[in-house]
Amino acid sequence: MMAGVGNLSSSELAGERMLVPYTTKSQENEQCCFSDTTETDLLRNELGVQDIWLGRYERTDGTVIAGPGLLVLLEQANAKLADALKSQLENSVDAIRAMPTPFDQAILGDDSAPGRKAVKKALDALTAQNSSILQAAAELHIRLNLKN
Amino acid sequence: METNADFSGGDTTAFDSTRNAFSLAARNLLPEHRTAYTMGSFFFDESWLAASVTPSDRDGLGPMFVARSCIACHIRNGRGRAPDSFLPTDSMVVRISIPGACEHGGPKPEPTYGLQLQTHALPGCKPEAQVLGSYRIIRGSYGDGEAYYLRQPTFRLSNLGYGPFQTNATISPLVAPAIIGLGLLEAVPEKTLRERELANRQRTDGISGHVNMVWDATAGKIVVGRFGWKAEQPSVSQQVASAFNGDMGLTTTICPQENNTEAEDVLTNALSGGSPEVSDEVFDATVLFSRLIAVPSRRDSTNETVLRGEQLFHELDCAVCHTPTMQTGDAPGFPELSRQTIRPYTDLLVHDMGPDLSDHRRVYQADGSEWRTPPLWGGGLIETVNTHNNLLHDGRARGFAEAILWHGGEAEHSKQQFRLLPKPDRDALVQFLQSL
Repeated sequence: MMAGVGNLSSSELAGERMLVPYTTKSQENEQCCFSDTTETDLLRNELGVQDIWLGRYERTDGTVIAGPGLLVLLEQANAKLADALKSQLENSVDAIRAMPTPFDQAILGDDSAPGRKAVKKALDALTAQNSSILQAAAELHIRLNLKN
Repeated sequence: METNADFSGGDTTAFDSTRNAFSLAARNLLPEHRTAYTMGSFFFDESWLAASVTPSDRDGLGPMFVARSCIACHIRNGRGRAPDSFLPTDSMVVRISIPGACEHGGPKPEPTYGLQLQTHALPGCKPEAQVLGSYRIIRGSYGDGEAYYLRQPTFRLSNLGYGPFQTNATISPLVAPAIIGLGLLEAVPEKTLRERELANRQRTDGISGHVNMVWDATAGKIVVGRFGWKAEQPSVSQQVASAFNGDMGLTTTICPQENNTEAEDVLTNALSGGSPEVSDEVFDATVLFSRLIAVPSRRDSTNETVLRGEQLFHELDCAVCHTPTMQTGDAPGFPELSRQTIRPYTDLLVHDMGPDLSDHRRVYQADGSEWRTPPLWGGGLIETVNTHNNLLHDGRARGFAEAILWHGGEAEHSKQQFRLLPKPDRDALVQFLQSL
């Protein structure tokens, strides 16, 4: 679970799906350049990560399935870190939602452009979240190895 | 229980023995290297495209090439395999040259085909050749009478695109090696290699490895070689530039020319992907990524059989060349790689491996029968990562026992001792190698 959630959060979402297009400013490097659903995919990725930590999942009809999540485990090892991670996950969700659409336009321009500032803010939120996930793994005595 | 011996790559070591074992970032990767590492990883995996009128970050493939991406041959950053009679090479390159040397002492290109055969080409261009392998089975037996069967390869070239070779040309088929721990090997001080060379010179048992002195295009001088099957590349950056160029037909600042010769009239058909085709930013990121891939930890290092195998590895003098431990020096800009105790099981020297392994092709000071001691770290995970156990430069060996049995030349005595071991000891030695 830690490897799955760690790699989705760090290598895939923050790394190849956001950092690479942000750095190259190139539409061909965005996640869904053909269907133009990149922003939805990024948000769903992050919600998935959050679901694993919170132990909850909202169905398309709005009903919620809930049970113990990874955060319950982390709370026992380090409650302060668990709190921090919980709010970092919320910050990431908010920051990804706040990115202007379409994503391939948001990454263009210089770094003061509103789109790039918003994407950068989401990237920074994910960086904080990923650093906590690595720390959480250590607290749980798991050697988490990430692709990048 | 883990011991220091498990940290094959020092602080870079990753603990994962799944098929992802070669695909992990150094555990001590610095936050300031993460962006470039991610970029490099991305461009290592991405397929390059033919240049077209639409601008792209990753165009310029070809006109002739071996593969479209780095990962196509270095599958999951791992090792390529040998071809057979039906399946052409898909994760190996075939070098070619004629007797003599070029101006810096490297191999002399075949006048039409250059230094490497390109097995694919863009539409409108012809590939240089197709390469198939066939095998003759050689029977041998261990000291206790148990039979073994080795496969001796012959590589057949067909569909030559640009006429016959010069008759005295020689070819060398080389599988893609795993790309773990390259930055650590680069950070081993030259002094260490020289000390190993001196220690070899003082031996009286025939083991006589030496450094290969090769051309460094960036420095513009002859330096110690470290990478490639013949230690023909001095640095990770030149290795990466050569691979972009020779394997994918992509130009870089270091290798600005396309890979076809003047005798091959192909450029008129192809657009360029820019000058250079691989931007310095993408190139630098790919080099940084190549330096900072983690080495996987050992498994079972305290298992009794493994320990017995390790003892035999030393007793049979395997460890003379497959040097278990080394220290890295200072790698400027890379604290992750600096002053690490690493366990690569190589001395980075070239050794005579005997006529049966010779490719009859001299590369700088490495003769046809001389090969760089390949690192053994991660060797026990090749099968997990790459779903094959093909070892040696052309992938002829199926597993460690066969690889040992192909050793000759300086390793003849060690090989014979292995052959004469009782079966439980042979198995223990192989089990030790599987733990690396």
